[in-house]
Amino acid sequence: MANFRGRGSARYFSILPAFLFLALLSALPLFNLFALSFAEVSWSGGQSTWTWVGLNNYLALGSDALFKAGILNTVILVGVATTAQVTIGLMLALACSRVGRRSRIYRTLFLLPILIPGIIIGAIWRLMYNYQFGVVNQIIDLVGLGPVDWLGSSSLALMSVIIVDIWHWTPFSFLLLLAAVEALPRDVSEAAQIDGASKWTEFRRISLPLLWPAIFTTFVFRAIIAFKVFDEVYLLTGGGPGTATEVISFTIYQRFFTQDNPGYGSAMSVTVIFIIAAVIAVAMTRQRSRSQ
Amino acid sequence: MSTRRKQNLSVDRALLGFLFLAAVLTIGPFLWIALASFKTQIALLMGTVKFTPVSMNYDEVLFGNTSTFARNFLNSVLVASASTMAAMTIGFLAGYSLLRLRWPAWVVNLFLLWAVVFNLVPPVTLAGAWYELFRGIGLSNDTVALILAHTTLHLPMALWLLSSFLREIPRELEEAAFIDGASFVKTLWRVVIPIMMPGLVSTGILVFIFSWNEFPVALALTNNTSATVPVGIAKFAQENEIKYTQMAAASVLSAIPALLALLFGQRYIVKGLTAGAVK
Amino acid sequence: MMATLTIQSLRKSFGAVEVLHGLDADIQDGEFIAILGESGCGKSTLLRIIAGLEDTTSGSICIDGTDVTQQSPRDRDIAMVFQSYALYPHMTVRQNIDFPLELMGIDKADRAGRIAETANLLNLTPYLDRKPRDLSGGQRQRVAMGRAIVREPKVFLFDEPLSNLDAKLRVQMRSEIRNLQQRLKVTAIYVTHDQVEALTMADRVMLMNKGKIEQFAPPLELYDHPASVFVAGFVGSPAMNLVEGEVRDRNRIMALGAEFPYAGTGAGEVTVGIRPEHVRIAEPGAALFSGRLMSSENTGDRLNLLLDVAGEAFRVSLNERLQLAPGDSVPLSVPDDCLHVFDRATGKRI
Repeated sequence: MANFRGRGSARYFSILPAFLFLALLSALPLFNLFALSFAEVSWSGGQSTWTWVGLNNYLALGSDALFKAGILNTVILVGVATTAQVTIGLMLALACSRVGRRSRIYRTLFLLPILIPGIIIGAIWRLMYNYQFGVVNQIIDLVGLGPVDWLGSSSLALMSVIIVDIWHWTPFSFLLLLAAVEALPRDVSEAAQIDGASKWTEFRRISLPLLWPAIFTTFVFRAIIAFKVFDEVYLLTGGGPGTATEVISFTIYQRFFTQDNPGYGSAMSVTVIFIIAAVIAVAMTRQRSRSQ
Repeated sequence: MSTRRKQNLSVDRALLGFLFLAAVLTIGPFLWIALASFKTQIALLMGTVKFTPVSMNYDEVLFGNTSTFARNFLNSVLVASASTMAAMTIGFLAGYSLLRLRWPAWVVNLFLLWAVVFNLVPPVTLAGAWYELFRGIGLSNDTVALILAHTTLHLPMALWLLSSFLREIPRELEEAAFIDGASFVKTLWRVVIPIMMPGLVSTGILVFIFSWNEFPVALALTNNTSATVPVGIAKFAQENEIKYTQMAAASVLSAIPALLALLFGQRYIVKGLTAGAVK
Repeated sequence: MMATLTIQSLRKSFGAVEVLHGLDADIQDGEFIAILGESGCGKSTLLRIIAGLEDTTSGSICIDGTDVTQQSPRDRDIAMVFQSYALYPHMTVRQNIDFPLELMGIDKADRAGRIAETANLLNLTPYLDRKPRDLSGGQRQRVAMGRAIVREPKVFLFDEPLSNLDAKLRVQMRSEIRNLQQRLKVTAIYVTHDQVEALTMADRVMLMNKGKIEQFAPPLELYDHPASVFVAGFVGSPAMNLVEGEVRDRNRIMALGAEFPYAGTGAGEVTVGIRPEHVRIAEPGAALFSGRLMSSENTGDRLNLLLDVAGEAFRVSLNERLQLAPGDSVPLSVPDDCLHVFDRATGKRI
């Protein structure tokens, strides 16, 4: 092959493996998942039989208390945790940016929770939340409170999970927002100061609007990840007590693997994927119309 | 002027205090769990502050007869290394191809759309689908299945990150190499790859860590002998409800890759995490 | 190591847009050719096609009589200096220069000799073990040259190599490149948008406009006998005055509200070109035409006037100092042989 651009067969060989993974391991299973959501699967002698049940799986979702609890708890967790993470993350980012070099050690330390396996975070906090010897109760004992059953009480359990999620993922918001804060054009804020703007006015009228796209992106990014929350909940509460911390990933997991009901689990998965896609589509359109 | 400077100084001091508090809250749990891992069960339950450190928790976790931790650890190393290698190689080739080899726009968009949409899908839903798929085609080796699954799971991220790093390399460098007489493979090997080494390291560290940490898919696709560290820990926590100090020791051990990455590759991690989201 | 280069009815399209409309050119052994034109005229595309970095849509490129149209760059025996220099940032100067030699499969001792020779020629010897980022702009430019000449290629290609340098260094590098090329006697093709570079460096200049060659001739010919209105307007600074005119009775041209004697073959509506530097202040009574001074600028060696002549803006460049005030009426004349006449419809020289 003569030319530089086409590079003949290399062009096809370079994309082929990615294409195979895309087609066989993500498109095909997702398609399969979609098909499965209209069926019921029974196993006999290592052979599976699909029985088409039409929309029955989807119709059953409406009256499934676990599914409703899962969606509700997940939405609460996503809303509260993400808002807190973005707010605290922004404060930390602004603080780090302001104090400059002296914040280097903190920038490193804040990375740690992002890198630790979620399941370990669950394990750590499960011990910290422990009724008898957990450090959380030891601390509130110092001020004469407690002990509190953080994970066992159905009114507190979800909040305890949310606290862990905030602790786990605030650093990630911080990191993304720090990049945005550091990229703010210096001359604009200097111009504002020369124009006589106070620090607060300058922040509210200049910096915040400039940061808004980054804040939005961080929020969406975090919300997407938060919606998938599974690892921490698995060890902290296992969805309990009752359905107090039942999150949607957990509900789906149980349908597939605990109850071996893939048809119903698939219908749930497909519904969740559509909900996420719809929410993001709406958020994106609103953000776009806002920035225009 | 001097009052203003004083004011600035006190603001800075307040901010440093705020950062210090945040750092304590961040590191505290790790310190607490690290301390717990050196305590005896009784010392932990009593809430003793002063204690004599013991290594029995680590001995038990690593070498105990009933402990599967060492095996879990090896499984994790195998799965994370193999899937990182695979995702990086496949992602690099695809990213290079899409950016440089003149594919029609719809092909490029298809892959980018995939990389974005795939991130919306909760891994748990895929875990179910993969489980059905691998069961359907009779793939009996859990480790191979998990490597394939993790490669698929992290390929979009690798593709996305590597593309953004590739985009920073001027095309002219490749053209210069080509005119200097380098073949396609030589251009990649001698020019493109060395220049984007920092980006490759960033991507590699992140994919490895993410694969190491991944839980729901590993939980779905593995059994007792093929379980990875997170799965092992989860099972351990459920089955040995009260062996708190051993759980602490296992937690500390499974954070090792994260700690190593943080110690030696902090710069690369920041680069990778921000490149992925901002671009 | 000399080579001729022949371009035959070369066409290039990107999608539905044709950017090169059938080019033909013959380039001789050891010639220094400048391809001159504004950005977007297709000059860089032409160079990249010669290099083999772009395909042709149709037509052919021959180097030394061999058709290389289907050959990859590395089989064409060419070297190229890029606008950004494209130095490999992870390699030292030595490694940068060595890279093409290594790929040619030359053994190590020979390579070391050639690197030393090249470095010596370009005054790069003290910098051989530095990385490109530790060099100044001029030094980087020399490394890029070194990487090109060390291979002793048949043809040198330059893509605006001086545009990233400051003005002073540019003038210096201009003569360095020219001297080097003459010493090595290698055919060179040099793309630039800077007419001073093209006119001072090249043996012949290929002036391109909208994917076509307007004129391919020695620099002075471009200046003295521009083949078209475009060439006339492009070459020379300040630019040639181009005004509408009409040939009457085959012996005079009516333009600028005046009458100019004419001995050429043109007829009817024409475009008349007059270089500002060919206009003179006329003695009283000998004026062909006159203008009203609108503004003037003095650069020390020249006095540039902007005049209103019969309602048209008209530039004059003099090498004498005069005391003039805006609004003054200035009597002007032009030598007969300094009139350039172009067909108004085709823009071609008559």
